Amino acid sequence: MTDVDIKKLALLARIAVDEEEMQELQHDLPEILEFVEKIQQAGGEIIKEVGEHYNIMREDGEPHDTGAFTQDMLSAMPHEKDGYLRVRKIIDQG
Amino acid sequence: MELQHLTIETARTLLDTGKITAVDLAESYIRRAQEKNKELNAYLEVFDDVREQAQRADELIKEGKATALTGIPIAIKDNILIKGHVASGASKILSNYVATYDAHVIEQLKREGAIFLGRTNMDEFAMGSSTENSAFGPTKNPHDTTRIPGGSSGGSAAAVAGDLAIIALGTDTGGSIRQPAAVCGLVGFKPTYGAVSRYGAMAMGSSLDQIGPLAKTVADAQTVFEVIRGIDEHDATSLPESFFKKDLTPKRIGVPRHFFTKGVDADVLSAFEASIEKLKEKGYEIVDIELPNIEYALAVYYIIMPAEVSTNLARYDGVRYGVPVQGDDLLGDYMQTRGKGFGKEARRRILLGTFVLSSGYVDAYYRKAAAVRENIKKDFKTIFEKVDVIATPTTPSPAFKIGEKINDPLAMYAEDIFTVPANIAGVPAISIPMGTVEREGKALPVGIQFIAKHGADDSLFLIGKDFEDVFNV
Repeated sequence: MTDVDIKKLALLARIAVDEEEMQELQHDLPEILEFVEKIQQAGGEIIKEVGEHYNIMREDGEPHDTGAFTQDMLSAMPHEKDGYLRVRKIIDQG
Repeated sequence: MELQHLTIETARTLLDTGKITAVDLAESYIRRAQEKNKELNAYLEVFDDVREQAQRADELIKEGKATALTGIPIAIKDNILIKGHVASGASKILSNYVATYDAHVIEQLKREGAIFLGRTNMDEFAMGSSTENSAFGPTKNPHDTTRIPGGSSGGSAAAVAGDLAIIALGTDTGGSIRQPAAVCGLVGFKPTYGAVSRYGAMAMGSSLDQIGPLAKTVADAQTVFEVIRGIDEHDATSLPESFFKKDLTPKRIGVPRHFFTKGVDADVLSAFEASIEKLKEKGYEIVDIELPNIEYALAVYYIIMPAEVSTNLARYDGVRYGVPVQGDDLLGDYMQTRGKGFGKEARRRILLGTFVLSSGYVDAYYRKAAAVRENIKKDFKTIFEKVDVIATPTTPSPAFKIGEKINDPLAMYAEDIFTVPANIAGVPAISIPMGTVEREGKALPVGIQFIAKHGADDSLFLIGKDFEDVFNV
């Protein structure tokens, strides 16, 4: 069974996981991985074909009037002050 | 007047002939929703502006400007944005989020004058097959309230099946419209990938997600689809009208029996075989087919989907919107917000996705899955040169008990076995009721699934209506 470092994954994914859930995941994740590993048996030649879908880009330029969504977005912010989003200080001058 | 068991067609006639008003109709559904929702938990919220919406619809009808959905009450899955209303994705992390714009499908429905009754419960961010993964409690199946309504669009399915709405919108990433439709006795339709714009729908697995209808009849599902479909500059995967095939008359049905040799309940399988027999009598030709790579579809899905989930859900961090939880430092803020804001299944899938994309594993898992996905697509392409439609049961069993599979992720994932291949290949698929099977003295609905090739969405409505005809004889 694949060895999974749950602590490292949780840090990569920015998700705090408590000890109890850590134990559960240590069981669940390798079990799920064991199931999906059956794709290793899939054979056949692998040819990547170009599908019907491709990226559609908009024209350069202003997509909308400046400020059209500002109020709506500000009102969704957990910590907003004078039209700015307040975030925690990230530079430690200690 | 108690207005119930209506389809779009019957409601349309009542509205257009002036026998009822849109306000009568909406109030009747709201009354029932308020009454029955305590038991079913189909709606997370019934909107308080329904009467105003209905009054506007009545004006349109009076002016002779009514179109297909004017005044028709519809329930909307909680991951589709309606400006000014909360859209939480049934997650704690977005429980206070008010949508700042309308999803493309909502714009289309507003133009028609459809009535939004409320937002429906779902598995958190559409991750699940039972609606038990909602942060706001499970939804119950109206046919047996000890059982799940399917998922992730379980609230939408319970709303229509419980007659708390005439129609509903859901989203389908691996079966989230078709599976709840099947176990609630409804029609559920997943359009061709690119047929309906996802602008304003919360992204889960972006290479798989589609929005579609849950309805009581094939005709109703088609009517909703005709309104919400169409090219949209805001969704880069949106396909032009010319891509879709008209004037199709499906004749040959392929049945991949090798795919149901194990894991399907015997009575579900016999209901399926009886349905196939009826289609044969109706004049369809039945062909045994093989899709060599389809047995890998579920494994491919449970690599690609969590990979996309881990990427898409990275945006929910409580900084610009949502519910923040404070930690010891900036990293702690992120860890706590996401650790407490996401439910268990969301956390599990994000970690799984993080793993299959991580350095040292990405080739063996994600890239290999992407390659096998191409082979599955090729299988479908080859088969659709021989047959017009593929038929399978929609689910291996009827609705299971609430709590039965919640601690066994692999058992829960197996529920999607017949529905994921259509998402993997991007082809359209529909689930239609094929009767009931009995469990503990209760008659539980099961569904038949038809899959067609890219852009052949209309052929599914044709065969679907034929199936309804022969089935209801």
